[in-house]
Amino acid sequence: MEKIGYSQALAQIEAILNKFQQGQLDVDTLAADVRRATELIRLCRERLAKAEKEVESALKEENS
Amino acid sequence: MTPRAHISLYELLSTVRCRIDETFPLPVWVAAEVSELKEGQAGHCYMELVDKGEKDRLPRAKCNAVVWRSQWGAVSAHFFSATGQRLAAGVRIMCRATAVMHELYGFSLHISDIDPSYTLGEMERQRRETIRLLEEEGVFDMNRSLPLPRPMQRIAVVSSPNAAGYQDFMNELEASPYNFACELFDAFMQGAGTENSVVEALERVAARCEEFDAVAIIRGGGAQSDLSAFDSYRLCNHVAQFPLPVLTGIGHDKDRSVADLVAAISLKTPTAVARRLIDGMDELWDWLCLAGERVASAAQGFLSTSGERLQQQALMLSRHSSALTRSLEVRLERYSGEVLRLSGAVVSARRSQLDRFGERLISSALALLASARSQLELAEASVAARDPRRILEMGFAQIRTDSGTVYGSSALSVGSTVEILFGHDAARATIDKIY
Repeated sequence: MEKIGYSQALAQIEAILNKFQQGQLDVDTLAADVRRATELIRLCRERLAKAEKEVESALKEENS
Repeated sequence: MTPRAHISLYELLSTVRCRIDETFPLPVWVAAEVSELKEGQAGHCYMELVDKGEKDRLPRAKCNAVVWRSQWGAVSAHFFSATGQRLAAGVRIMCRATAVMHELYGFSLHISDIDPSYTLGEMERQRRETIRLLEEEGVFDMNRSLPLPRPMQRIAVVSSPNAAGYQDFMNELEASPYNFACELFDAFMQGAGTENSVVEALERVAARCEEFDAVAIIRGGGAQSDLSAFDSYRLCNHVAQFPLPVLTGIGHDKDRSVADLVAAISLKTPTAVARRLIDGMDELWDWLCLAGERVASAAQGFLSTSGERLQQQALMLSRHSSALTRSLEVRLERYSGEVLRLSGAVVSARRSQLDRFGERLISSALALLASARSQLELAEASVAARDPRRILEMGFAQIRTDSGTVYGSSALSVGSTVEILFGHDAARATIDKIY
């Protein structure tokens, strides 16, 4: 996956969802859009988990 | 020229002598003041007696007197033992005397006895008069009210250098461990000149009074001393008003002289005066030692208190700082918890958002697919409805030429062949007529 910021990733997910909600169906690109959105959601989850871990370890270091 | 009627001097004086002898055949008691006194080599005592006016104190009668050697010893000894003073100029006496007129030697009194009680009474009278005057003038307590300097070390000594008392005084001071600075102001300490001499010495001291701490008036002799000068108003007035404290050691056994009464400190002997000065220095020394100890103890106490205070402050500082640290730690822990909680909340919110996005993605995609599917199905149905085969199965037929489907007769000509398509098969026909 290319380097993309969390906010950008989120914006792209929202754009895809909006397109879907407006019924702009393009069967040829549907699967690709779903894959893309799924991939972005996974990426965001990873970023989120990483950030959470970093916060915990930073607090641990501070307390020790 | 006949000489005037006259008598010779001898006859005159003889007459006077006879009259005196007739008038005073026996000795009489005479009160007078001794103005001069001299013991002759033969052992007789020659005096000049004077009678002063009560008010002006000016002589109003004067004559010579004599105490013969045979009586002088007993008279003077009795007088001295009774009054404590010697017969001298200035002493008022009551004497038993025979009035003697001698043609050659003039008038004189031959004293056979002197009554010391009269002199004692006179002395007491003078003493009381002096006290009364000093009290009346408000100076009686002046010298006694002066604060005693500390130390009392620079002493002006009014005394006679040859007096035993002076030597005793000096010896006592020199034997002490203190460095007394004494200066002698020479004065007669007995006899008729005592009053003037002591007053004059006091005046010399007063002129330099800032150089001294106190004045000591001392003389030896103890109880046998002549105290009358020290009861005199003039001397006592000087002592009472003297700017420095006066210490007296002029010797007294029974009665204290008026000078003793008005002096700041009065003691019996010069040695006692010296002892008093030394005691004062001892007291001062003890006080200084005690003060030194007190200062040291106070300083130690102060240091100790300061040390304890510092320790307490250090302890309090430590307590406060640890309390502060603890409170800061608690706050930081709370912040840390807040960070964790808030970041957790953010993460959780984001995660839910992503979950929602994922769900929405799936549902949207599925909905889109379903919609597409139903669209296709509709299309399919529509298409199916329009299928020519189905129409043909309904009884309709399609006519086609080699050019394609014939939609009208204009595309046909008589004699041409056409293909008729049915639902399940076909037939060939020839056009024989066109209408």
